[in-house]
Amino acid sequence: MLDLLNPTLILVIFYTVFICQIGLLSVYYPVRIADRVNYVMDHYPQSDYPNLYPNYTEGQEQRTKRNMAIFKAVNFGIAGLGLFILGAMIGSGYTPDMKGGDEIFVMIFFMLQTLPMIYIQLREVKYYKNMQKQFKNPVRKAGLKARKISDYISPFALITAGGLYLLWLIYFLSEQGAVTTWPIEVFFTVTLITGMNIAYILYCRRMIFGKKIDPYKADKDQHIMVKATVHVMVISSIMISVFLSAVEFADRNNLEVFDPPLISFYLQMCAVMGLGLTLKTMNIKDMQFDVYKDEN
Amino acid sequence: MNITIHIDSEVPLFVQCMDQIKMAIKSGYLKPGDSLPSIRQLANDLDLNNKTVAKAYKMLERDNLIVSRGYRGSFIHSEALDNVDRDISSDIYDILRQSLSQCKEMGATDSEIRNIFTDLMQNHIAQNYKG
Repeated sequence: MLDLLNPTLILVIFYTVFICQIGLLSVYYPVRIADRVNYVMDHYPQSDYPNLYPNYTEGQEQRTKRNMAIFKAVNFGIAGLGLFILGAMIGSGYTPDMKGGDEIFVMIFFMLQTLPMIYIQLREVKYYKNMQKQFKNPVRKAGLKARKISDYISPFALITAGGLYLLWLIYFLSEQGAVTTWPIEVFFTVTLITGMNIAYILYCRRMIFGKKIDPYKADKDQHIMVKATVHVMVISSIMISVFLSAVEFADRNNLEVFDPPLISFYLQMCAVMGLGLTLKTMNIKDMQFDVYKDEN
Repeated sequence: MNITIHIDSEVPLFVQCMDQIKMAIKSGYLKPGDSLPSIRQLANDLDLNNKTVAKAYKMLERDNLIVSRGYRGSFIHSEALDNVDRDISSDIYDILRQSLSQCKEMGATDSEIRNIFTDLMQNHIAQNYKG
């Protein structure tokens, strides 16, 4: 019978999952993001699509392409660092701590991997702010149909997300004893996860009923984007409930040694379901770019 | 069907909203029982103040073209198609013209009528909007 707690097997699982984390977050997605931006620059230039370039200055396309090259290089550098750490672990004969705790290093490396992405996200926020400032259309249009959350996601998925959250809550609190004896970490965890789910709901509400982030975006593209966002939020909620239940199960059954690969796998799933789903759904070739042409 | 608002038009924004919802009812695009976008949704989509859309909805409700059902939102009135051509402003115009003729027959002067009408309006505003 397969011995789950065999250190070699644990190491093989961990190294495999960690290599995937390096490849996915520091090579695959950064290349896809940079290619996407470069594709827009090449196919929709400022001369034909001025609304796509708020606050345009001479040579902006070249600067953006150069920034994308730096973005890729930084990510490749982080991937190299990850491989070096992995090599050092193998070379030094690292053995996993059976009590867990090494997952902190996985999380620190993940944070390092997300830094370039966060920078890109911040630039994107600024970009859309400029676009909204520039948008001065005296003719405004809106559909006359009431939007509902079920236009964007199936009720089944919503019920699953809500149900799994409740199941995790019950499972998590089932062995904590009376409320008066709960340690502060229990309150913190429950508040954090509940708050996160509430934040997801508010964000979805804002996306569905709020102002368009990109005021020029065609209705069809807007619908696809909101649909993708709502899916990402609901899947994230489902995944966090499953992940926390799995970690709790591992802790209760002396399987904490699997915490590092479990966390790495979870973070990768977050990237695939968040970034991956958004990139797949918002296919650049299917998007309507005529809305960015100057109509005057 | 889209609602189109011209920001630079001389027609007030809430009137543009009302007129286009009326047109959607007339054309059969909006049928009795259909739900309308929430005030917040329409205001955000058109980049208008919530109060502007709320005013348009309030006037449509007054004209029995839509019904508001609290948190569930606003819906097209069951008799909207019959009421869509009804112009309350025109009705008010007729009523006041009749009253004016009667006052004139009684020998009232223009300034008397104007003063009494202004007084009535001021009392009405004080009673309904005090505080």
